[in-house]
Amino acid sequence: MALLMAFREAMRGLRRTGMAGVVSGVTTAVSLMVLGIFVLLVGGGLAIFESLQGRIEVDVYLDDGLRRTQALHLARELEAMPGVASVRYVDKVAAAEEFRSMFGDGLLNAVSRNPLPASVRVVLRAGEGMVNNARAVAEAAAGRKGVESVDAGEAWLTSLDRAREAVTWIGVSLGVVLCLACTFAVGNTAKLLVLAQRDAIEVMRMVGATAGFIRLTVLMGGAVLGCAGGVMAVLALWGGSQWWAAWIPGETRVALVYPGLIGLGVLLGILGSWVSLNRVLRALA
Amino acid sequence: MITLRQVGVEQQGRRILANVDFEIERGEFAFLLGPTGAGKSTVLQLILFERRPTSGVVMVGDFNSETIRDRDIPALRRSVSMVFQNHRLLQDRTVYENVAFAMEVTGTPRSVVRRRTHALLADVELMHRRSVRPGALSGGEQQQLAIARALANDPFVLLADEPTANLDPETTDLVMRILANVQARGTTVLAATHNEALVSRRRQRVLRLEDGRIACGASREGKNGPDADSGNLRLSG
Repeated sequence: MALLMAFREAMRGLRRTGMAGVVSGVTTAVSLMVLGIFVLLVGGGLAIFESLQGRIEVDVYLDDGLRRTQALHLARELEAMPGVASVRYVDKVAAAEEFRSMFGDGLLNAVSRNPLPASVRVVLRAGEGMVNNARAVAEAAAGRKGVESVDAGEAWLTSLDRAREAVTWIGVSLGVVLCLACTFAVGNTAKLLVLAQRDAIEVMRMVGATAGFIRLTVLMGGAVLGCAGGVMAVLALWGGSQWWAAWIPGETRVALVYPGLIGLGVLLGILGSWVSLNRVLRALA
Repeated sequence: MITLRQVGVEQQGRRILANVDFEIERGEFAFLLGPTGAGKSTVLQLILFERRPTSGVVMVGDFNSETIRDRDIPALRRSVSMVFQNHRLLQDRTVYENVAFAMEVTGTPRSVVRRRTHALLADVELMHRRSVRPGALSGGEQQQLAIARALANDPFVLLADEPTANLDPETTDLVMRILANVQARGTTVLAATHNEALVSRRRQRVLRLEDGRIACGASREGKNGPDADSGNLRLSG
C-alpha cells in the first residue's frame, strides 16, 4: 500500500517537474549514451586486438634431414611450454599445398624440387605476456638440433602488445573520467528533481508522513528518472547499432552494455536523489 | 494536554524564551498573544516538536520533549497539526488535492481520503472551489484551505500561526468561526496572534507573551468554552 502510494507520488512528482523533468531525463540519457558509446568502442577495440593476437604464431622451420618422429617430438615439447595454445606439424608436402593455394602452381613448377621446409607452427594463447611467451618458444626452438630457423614475428607482437596496453590504459582513464562526469550529471539532474519537490517534502514532514515514506517517494522518483534516461540511451544506441555493427565485434559485449546502462542509470538516479534529499531534509530541519 | 514547564529557548547565544510555564487542557481554545518577535512562533514550533527547548520540558499528550525519539515525530504530527502563517500550500495541486495529499502520504485508504476530503472542504466552505489551484484563491480562502488540510488527519491539537493576518473583518469572522467549531468538536486550539482587537472581542483564554516570557494568562481564569459567535458551522469527523 505504502509502496504503491510512494510510487504514485513519485510519478506525480516527476510529472509536475514539467520541463525540468524532461531536461533531466534527456541529460541523463545523453550522459549514459556517451558512456555507452565509449564502452562499446573500447570493448570493440580490445576485441580486435584479441582476435589479431589469436592469429599470431611462431613458425619453427626444420632441416630437411630431420625425421618426422623427431619433428613430432619437438612439437610435443613446444606444446608443453607456458602460454602455448596449440602446435601443428606441417611437413614439406603440406607446406607446398599451402603455398599453391595461396600463390598458384607457377613458382613451384619452376623449380626441380620442393624448396619449402617442414615446420612446427606454435599458436600462442592470447592475452598478457604473449610477447614473452613467444620469445621463450623461439629461444627454446632455436637451440634445438634440426631447427633451421625460427620466425616469432617479435617486432609485430611487441607493437601489438604496446598498442593493446595503450588502448586499455586510455580506456580505463577516460572511462573513469566519463563515469565521474556521468555521476555528476545524473546526480545533479536528480538534485533538480528533489528541489522541485521540496515544497511537497516539507508538507509531507509537517502532516506526519514517516521519514521512510518520504525517502521511498523521492528515491523512487530518482530511480524512475535514471531508468528512463537509461532506456532512452539504450534505444539511441540500439538505433545506431546498424551503423557501428561493422566496427564493433562481439554481440555479447553489446548485450552486457545495454542492461548495464539502465542499471547504472537507476543506481545513479537513486544515489543523486539520496544525496539531495539529505541536503533538503537538513535544510528543512 | 499541552504542558510547558520552565521552558527556555536560546539560539546563537540569544534568549528567545525564558521560564515559559503554562498548561492547556483538552478541548480548550486559547490565544497566544504578543507583538512580533515575542516568541509566539517558537512556542508553536516547540509544541509541534519542530524544535526542542534549551531548558525545561514540553509535553503534548503522551509525547515528552525529554524522551521523544525522532522516529516518533511523524506520529505526533498526525495528532498535532499546524496552520502556517504563509499557508505552505502546494501551488501545483488543486484545492482537493492539497487536502487529500495530507491523508495520502500518511497511508489513509483512498475511499476514506475521498469521503473525508469532501467533508472537510464542505466544512470550510470551499467545496465549490475544489478544482482550482491555490493561486486562484483569495487570502481568506487560502487560510480556509490550510485549516482543512491541517484537520485532514483528525488531530487532537490544532495550532494556528496568525490565522487572521491580512484578512478583512468578514473573512476574519469566518476563519474564527471555523476554528471555534474545530474546538467544539473536541480539538484543542491554540492560535498565535499579535492582534489585540481580535482577542478582546472574544471570550477565549489569552496567554500574553512579552519578550519571551508569559506576562499573564498562565493560569486558567474561566474564559474557556465554545466561541460565542461560532455560528452554526459543524465540522465533520
